[in-house]
Amino acid sequence: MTRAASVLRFLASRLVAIAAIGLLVSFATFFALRLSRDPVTVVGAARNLTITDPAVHAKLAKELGTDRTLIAQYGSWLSHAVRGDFGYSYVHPKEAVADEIKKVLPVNLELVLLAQIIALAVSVPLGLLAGARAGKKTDSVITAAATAFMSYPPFALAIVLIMVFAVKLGWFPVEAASYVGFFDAPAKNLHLMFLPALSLAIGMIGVYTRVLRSDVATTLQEDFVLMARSRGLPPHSIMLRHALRPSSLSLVSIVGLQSGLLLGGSILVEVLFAFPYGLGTTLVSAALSVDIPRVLAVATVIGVLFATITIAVDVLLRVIDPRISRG
Amino acid sequence: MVDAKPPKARASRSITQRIALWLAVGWMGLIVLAAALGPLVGLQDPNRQGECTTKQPRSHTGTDGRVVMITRPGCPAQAAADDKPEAVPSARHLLGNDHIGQDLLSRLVAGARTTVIIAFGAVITAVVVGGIVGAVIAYVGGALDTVVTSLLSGLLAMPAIVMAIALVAAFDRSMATVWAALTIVAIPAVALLSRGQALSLVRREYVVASKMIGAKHGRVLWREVIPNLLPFAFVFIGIGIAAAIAAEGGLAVLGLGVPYPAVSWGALIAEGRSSLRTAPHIALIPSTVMFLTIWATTYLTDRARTHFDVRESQL
Repeated sequence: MTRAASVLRFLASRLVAIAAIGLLVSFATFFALRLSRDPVTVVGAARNLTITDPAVHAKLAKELGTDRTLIAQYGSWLSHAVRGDFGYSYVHPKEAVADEIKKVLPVNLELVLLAQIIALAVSVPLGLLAGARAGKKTDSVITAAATAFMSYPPFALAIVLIMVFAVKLGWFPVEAASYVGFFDAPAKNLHLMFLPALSLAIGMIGVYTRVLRSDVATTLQEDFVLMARSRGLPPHSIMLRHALRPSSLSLVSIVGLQSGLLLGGSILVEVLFAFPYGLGTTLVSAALSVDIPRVLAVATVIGVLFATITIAVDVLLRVIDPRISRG
Repeated sequence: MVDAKPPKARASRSITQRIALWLAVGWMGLIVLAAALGPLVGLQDPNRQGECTTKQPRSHTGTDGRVVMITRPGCPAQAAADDKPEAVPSARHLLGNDHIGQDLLSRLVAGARTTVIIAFGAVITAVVVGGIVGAVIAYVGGALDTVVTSLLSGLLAMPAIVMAIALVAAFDRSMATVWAALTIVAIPAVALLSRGQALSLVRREYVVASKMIGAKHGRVLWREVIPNLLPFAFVFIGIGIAAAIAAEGGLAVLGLGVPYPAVSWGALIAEGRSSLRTAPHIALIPSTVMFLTIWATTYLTDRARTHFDVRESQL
């Protein structure tokens, strides 16, 4: 098989995997939710209907489509979902769930992206330095600092950052309640997003620095580094051109995993910085009110994004180290 | 060679590392002691204000929405000042008072009990249950292994905090609910790790030998496989406790932590949010205590990992 064909085959198999995960997550969420709660009771409560009356119950069930079999309902949900239609919220019946996700998702994507940029910008130099000086004083100082960074819970850190940089110094807004999109007002947006992203980034700085340090220290013991040294290459060139690439595999995997987890897991930062909306906030409020269409949509979107990131990482790992694809 | 110690052991005897080790051990000892003996120390009731504070009889709320307190007649001026809400640390209240005049030190000690019970309890339960699940599916293998592993991987993709929130919200708020939620959230990760480790064990000669001499499956698992998972269990308990302390705090900030009269560190930090401008120490002190505890756990886990030679990449 030619190289191009094998790459295409690989990408096609990964796209199928993404679709399969979306299917699996939505299927599991759908049945878990539907078996635990009857949508008629949720919508009935939201509209103040007496669903104990069989006629009212039957009418509502017909309207919601819950008089069909579960499989038929899932099939109809799926056929709409693949066209980007996630139905309407049970609790706020005027809101199309797809519109809500379109509005909310950019906040979290930006938050994750900014946090990763900050975390990598700090941790890559620190990790390289500590790895190169493994066992020496610089290493112990950096590793100790990284452990300390890892140990501060992000929500407590968010509060401290708000206290210092927003309340005392007044450099940043205390709240992100007046959130604007990046493309509407880039400067204002970044000003608002910096502290939330930083509070997510600091813990990751600790983790990334430690992971990179440990891998760099191992790589530097390899023969090809000794070879490069014996050729008289300057240390920075050995670090950046020879040692960084083979040492970055674990780091790339962890960045991917963290990005996926942060997508829906940043609810505390969303709440503490009073974001007007966010994926975590939506998921929790929907789960608490058993708003099945919203839970289902957010869970599916998170699942698909998580799978996409995992697969992007997988591709990236093969680019960094072609030996992986040769198995 | 006179010194037969391996280089790793010698390096670990550097003076700063020894100090750090004793700091971590000492701090954890202090926290566990506070949790165990807290009520016996004779501090002020964590849910009562000082004797010289009292709520003003008429509803008198300041412009910022806080209840304005007046001092009770007959108290010395110094004691009255020390008992005020948001008071800074003093001899009477070593860490100062919270936003309604409750002693922060006694609340921290009461919080230590909640945190230790929930974090240690949840993680140890999760490690026992998840560890056994992982060992069994690795040992049995086949369809059971495939099905359970993919189920666990799917669960792992859901943000843990969201799952914990949903679980806590679904039941009554109580210490047992928080404990159970944190346990359930941790089980998939523990089970997958334990499975990965057990997979490499079940093919070892001593396991095969044990089967060949006719040992029953239960005996092979219990005597040969599970004991060899213990180093990982210890390391995971350390990592898990650090994560559980933070997770409990997160739930408390969202108002889903343990209910009154129990006190938790997360709840203390959350309460301190309202006084960030006027009395930052109310949020800062419990944050620092939580940070030091997580740091000590992480540090001790690192040391245990070096000791048992468990590599970071295996976790």
